[in-house]
Amino acid sequence: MVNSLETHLSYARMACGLRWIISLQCFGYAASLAVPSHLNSWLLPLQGDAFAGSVDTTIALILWVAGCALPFLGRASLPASQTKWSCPVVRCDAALLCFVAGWTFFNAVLSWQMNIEDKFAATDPFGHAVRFVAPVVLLVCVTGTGYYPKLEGYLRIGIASTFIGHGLAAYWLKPGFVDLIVGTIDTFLGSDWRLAEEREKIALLLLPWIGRIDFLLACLILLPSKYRKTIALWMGIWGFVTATSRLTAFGIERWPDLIIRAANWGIPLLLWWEMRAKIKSSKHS
Amino acid sequence: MKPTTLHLTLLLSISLLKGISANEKTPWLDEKFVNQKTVGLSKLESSNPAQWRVIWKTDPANKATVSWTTAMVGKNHLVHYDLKSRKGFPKNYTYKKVSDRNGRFSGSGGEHFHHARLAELKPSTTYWFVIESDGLFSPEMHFTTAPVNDRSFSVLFGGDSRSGHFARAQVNLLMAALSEENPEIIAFAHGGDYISSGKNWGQWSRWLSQHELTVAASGKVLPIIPTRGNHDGGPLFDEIFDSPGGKERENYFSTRLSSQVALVTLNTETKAGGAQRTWLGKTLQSLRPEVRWLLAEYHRPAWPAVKRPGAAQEFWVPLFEEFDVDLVVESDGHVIKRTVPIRNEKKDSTGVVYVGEGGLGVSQRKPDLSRWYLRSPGMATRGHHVMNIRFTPEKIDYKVVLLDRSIADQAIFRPRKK
Ligand SMILES: [Fe+2]
Repeated sequence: MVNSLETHLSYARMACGLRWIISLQCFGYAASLAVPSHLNSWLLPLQGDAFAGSVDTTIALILWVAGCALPFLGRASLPASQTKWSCPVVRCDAALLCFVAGWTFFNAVLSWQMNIEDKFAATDPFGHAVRFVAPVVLLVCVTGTGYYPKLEGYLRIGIASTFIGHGLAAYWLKPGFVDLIVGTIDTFLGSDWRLAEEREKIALLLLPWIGRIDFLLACLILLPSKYRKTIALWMGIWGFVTATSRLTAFGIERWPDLIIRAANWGIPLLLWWEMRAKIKSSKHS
Repeated sequence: MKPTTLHLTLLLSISLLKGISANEKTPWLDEKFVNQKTVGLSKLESSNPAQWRVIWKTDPANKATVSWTTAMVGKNHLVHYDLKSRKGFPKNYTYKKVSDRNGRFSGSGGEHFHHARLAELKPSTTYWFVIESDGLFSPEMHFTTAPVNDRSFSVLFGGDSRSGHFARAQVNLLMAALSEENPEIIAFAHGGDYISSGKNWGQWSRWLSQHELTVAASGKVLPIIPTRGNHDGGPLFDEIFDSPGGKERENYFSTRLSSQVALVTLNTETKAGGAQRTWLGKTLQSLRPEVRWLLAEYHRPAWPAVKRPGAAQEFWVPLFEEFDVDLVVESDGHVIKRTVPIRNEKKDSTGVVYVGEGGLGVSQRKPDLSRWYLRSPGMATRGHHVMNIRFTPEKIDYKVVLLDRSIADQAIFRPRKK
């Protein structure tokens, strides 16, 4: 009885957290569609600017709606016994989640395919993994077909993939990452072009270690260990720091870059919160 | 003949004549003409020298690289050149230069590149040349080295030739016509995104062949100053343009176009904020007191008309403002744009103007006219185009020429007060 209630609570907590994270992510993706997407670049020579632009606008609109609606469609996120497929709210919820998962996945694949000569872009399907795994997991919660420990496992695989993708890019010294570090140092220590070359050297020293640590964290979150809670917290904080570096390097107008990565930092924090809640409740019982 | 019939006949004749003259001036608007020209490109087979180009990097008054492609490795690759036309008879040319760098294009079916680096050239001098590979010859062509004095000259600028192959051929033919008519035009600065996929040899090969269309009927070649774009990743860019900027500097370099004009080419496809920024600062600092006209060019815009700003805005714009760069040329957005003068992220008459953004054949986009820096006296529109920028002691004359030769935008820039 206690176990069943506990699982129910875990489901509810996870679904609630996922909803807010995915909602934030939707706003980030929608805002980023104010400028042409990878899909737009692909469609442009085939269908022209008007068609490519209208596709972007339509996708943005759906994402804005999803971002607003998802937190309030929470009633549907119950285990199987309480899910009502006949309910239009549940169907709407599922459709939006399918769209969000589809768009985030498609976007990652297109980012790679549209820049096929760029090895860093090839890491995007991994680097973006948690962004499309999160809506899929919530979809499973909604339909009530998932087994809770498995769902948690999928989220851990998603976040590990993201860390491996980013770790690879860091290890290979992605130029964009160097600029994030240099830009952030500039923000805190003052911009000086005479020192820029030295700051680049610092970034080039740091990045391989950042990559190695990302790989290590990805392994640790997958393996069973008593430190998993701490690892999840560490990944959450690090995910937030790296997502925020877009703003510290390039300014507040890059806010969509922070929330588009909501899952990168939100999912490990959610896992940490959930593990903490579980430990607390087991201590009480 | 009744007066009405006479009038009609006259009107018809005038309109026909007008039509003929318009067509003569813009024959590339006719599909048949473009197809004919495309069919007439040199064949890439055996050792036949094809896909010729002249490349300018740092010192175009004294140096130029003549480059070409052969379908097979070959043995003897050289350029015969002279200060006079020798009608293509190789033995009559005074000078020859054996190719300095040869190699197989990455991912190709055996096609090879050849780069003959001509040095110790005389400034403001026309050089006539033929290319030889294993006894097979190109037609005679010529180019003029950059001046070292303050004479007036023009450079064509443009970017994004990547996906519209027909429109690309049309713009190339327009450039050839402009270059033929105007001896003042001495070079062509390409702002990047030559093709869609930088590792695809087939796409590059097509671009290289179509680049022959920029050669005027007289054989006048416009040396190309290459910028790397986001679609030009991979090793082929360096193989095609003989690694502009060298290995250490990843495709960024400055070109001294005359005693009073310098163009700094930057690379938005690598680290922008570190070594490249320090190099840019040092370069602008040393060039600014020496030249009247200081320009920069790179691919991803700092002040885009369509997309969001690239890293250039954060890292390079403060330097352009500190060293009062006169004009910045950007690409990537697939529009025509000219910003208001910008300083400290505001319109300021002492600021820097940014033009662009690529129309050498790629499908055009609709610019976002609500952006503050595009409002009058700035502008933005769309259309395949090339920018003709003329440098004189008194002014920079900037014109955007469309395929039908109409002028989409023009502006004059005066020297900054010292
Ligand atoms: Fe581009």
